[in-house]
Amino acid sequence: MSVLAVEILDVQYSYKKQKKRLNENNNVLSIESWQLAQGERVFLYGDSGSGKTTLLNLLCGILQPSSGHISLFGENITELSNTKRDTFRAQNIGVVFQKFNLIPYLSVYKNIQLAAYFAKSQGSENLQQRARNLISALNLPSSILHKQVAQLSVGQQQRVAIARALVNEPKLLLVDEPTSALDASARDAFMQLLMQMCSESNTSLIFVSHDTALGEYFERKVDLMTLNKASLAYKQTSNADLQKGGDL
Amino acid sequence: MNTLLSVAWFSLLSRKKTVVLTFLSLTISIMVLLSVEHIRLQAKESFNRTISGVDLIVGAPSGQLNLLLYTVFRMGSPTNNIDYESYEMLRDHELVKWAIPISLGDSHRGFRVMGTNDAYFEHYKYGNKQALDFEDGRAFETLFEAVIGADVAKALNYQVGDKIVIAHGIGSTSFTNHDKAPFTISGILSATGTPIDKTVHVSLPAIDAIHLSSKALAQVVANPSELSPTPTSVTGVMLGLNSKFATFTLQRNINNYPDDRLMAVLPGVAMAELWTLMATVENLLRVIAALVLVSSLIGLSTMLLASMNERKAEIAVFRVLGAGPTTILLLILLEALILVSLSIGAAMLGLSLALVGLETWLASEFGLFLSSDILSPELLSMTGFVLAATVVVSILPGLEAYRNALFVQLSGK
Repeated sequence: MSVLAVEILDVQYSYKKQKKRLNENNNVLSIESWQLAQGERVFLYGDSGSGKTTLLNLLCGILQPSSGHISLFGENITELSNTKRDTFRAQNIGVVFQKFNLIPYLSVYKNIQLAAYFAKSQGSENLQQRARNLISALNLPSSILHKQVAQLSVGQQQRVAIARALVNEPKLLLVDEPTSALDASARDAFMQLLMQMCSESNTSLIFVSHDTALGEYFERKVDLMTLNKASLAYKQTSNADLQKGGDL
Repeated sequence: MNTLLSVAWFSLLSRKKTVVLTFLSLTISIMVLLSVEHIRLQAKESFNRTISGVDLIVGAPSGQLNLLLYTVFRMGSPTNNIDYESYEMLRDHELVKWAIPISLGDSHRGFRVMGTNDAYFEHYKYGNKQALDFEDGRAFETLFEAVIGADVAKALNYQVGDKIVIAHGIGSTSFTNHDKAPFTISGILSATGTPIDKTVHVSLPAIDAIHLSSKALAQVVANPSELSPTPTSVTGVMLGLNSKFATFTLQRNINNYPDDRLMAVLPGVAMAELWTLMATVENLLRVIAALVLVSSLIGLSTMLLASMNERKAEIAVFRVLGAGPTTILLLILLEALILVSLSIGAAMLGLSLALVGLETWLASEFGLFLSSDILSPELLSMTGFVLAATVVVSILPGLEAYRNALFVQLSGK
């Protein structure tokens, strides 16, 4: 069996400020066990407060779990030093947010170059070619490379963000609500492109959204509300509070 | 590093308005700092080049500063004169190689007139033992001839052969113009960058002649060679000795001279004393310049700190791309350093241009002879200091960025 893309074991996360209260339910995130195979694409859905953002931050190593460990491609990233984790992220993980993915004052090419710079995979001619290929694969005109980010439409920016995320040929792509700023037709085009790019390069994909309609593009769907024990607990207590309020 | 530099550069470009204002403020303050330092160094140099090779200055007893000021710098007024015989005694003294008599007290349109003799043109040295040199013409030979300094010629547009009138007193508008004693310019000295450039030189008897009664003067003018008056006194004497070792012996002898009240000073000692007086002013100027710089560096820090809020999302992007918090801190430092380096460049350019443009005005108005070459080691080390100070003040916004980078979360919002 090949190495898993993602393996989460007994991961708990709580904000430091909340630790003082000796309450079991102060965890924002609590996942006992979860795996993702290499090349697998998964749709994670859940409303705000379900721990989506926290999970993404943990997966790319910007947050450290309070306990438990996370392995990516066999590398236990919770045990890496901060610098090594930053480099690991640069080389292995591509991230696309809802918006504000690009440095606004740099050109499209400079943005892509920056990703390669931090992954230490520059090689300028090679990089230019790679960037051009990605841009054309994403149905963008190659002239866009030298445009300022601010001149692009939101849809174009999101596609450039994909190109930027894929330029280092990451093994894992984390995508957080990338389509919420797009209209319906642009969203479908974007989703198809994304799926196509991932399957071509056999990239594992974690796609996070509250919009369950997007789940149609995925075979595997996970509800964060059930995966994240902390979020379930959170719901129950708040429901209990509501009932109390109703009694009065 | 190149990539980070260009990112820092584009980041600055994206905030043009605040960046340009900060740049201007930095440029002005760095220019003030560099100007003060440059003028200080140049003033010291031009001060020290005023006199060279003179072993003793002799005059009437006052203070050594006073004597130095009026004999060398033509500033202030001589309190008393010494007898002409004392000059002759010094000139003929066995330890003395040469003696230059100096007689002051008159002016020509604001420029000091100094009576002296050929020994002056022969022995007076300035700068690095440079002798006086004629730009045009020759030394005075007859009673009513004058040799003018380069600045006098430039300011009043005089040429050899022009006739000038010398006034009694030292103001530029004197009530008793010696109208009847017109002098002819016989020579113009090359520029020296010292007070010599602003002096009108005449012979010793000429000084006495212009103070004769108008009737007597008219007779002298009519027949200068025969009736030229014998000088009775001089203001001071500059001495060059046969042996430096004799300096102190001769100084003691002169101070104890029984026939006239004399005082001899060592120019080097007097110059050092004068310079310590100036040092207070000089340090005050440096402190003010440093404070101006500190305030605009704080402005720089404020500018960077204020931008930090709007840059949170940007920092999140950098983190996602794999930049560590140290890289973010470095980026902020680079922005500050780029801005300050540009300001230093602009300040140096501005200062050089100002020095070239204002050269003649500064020389004629203030007697300041400033070189427009500002790349002295002192100024370069000063810019190094400015860059170091920049790093110190950018630590604050840098740390803020570092903190942001540590706690930033990818919210995508």
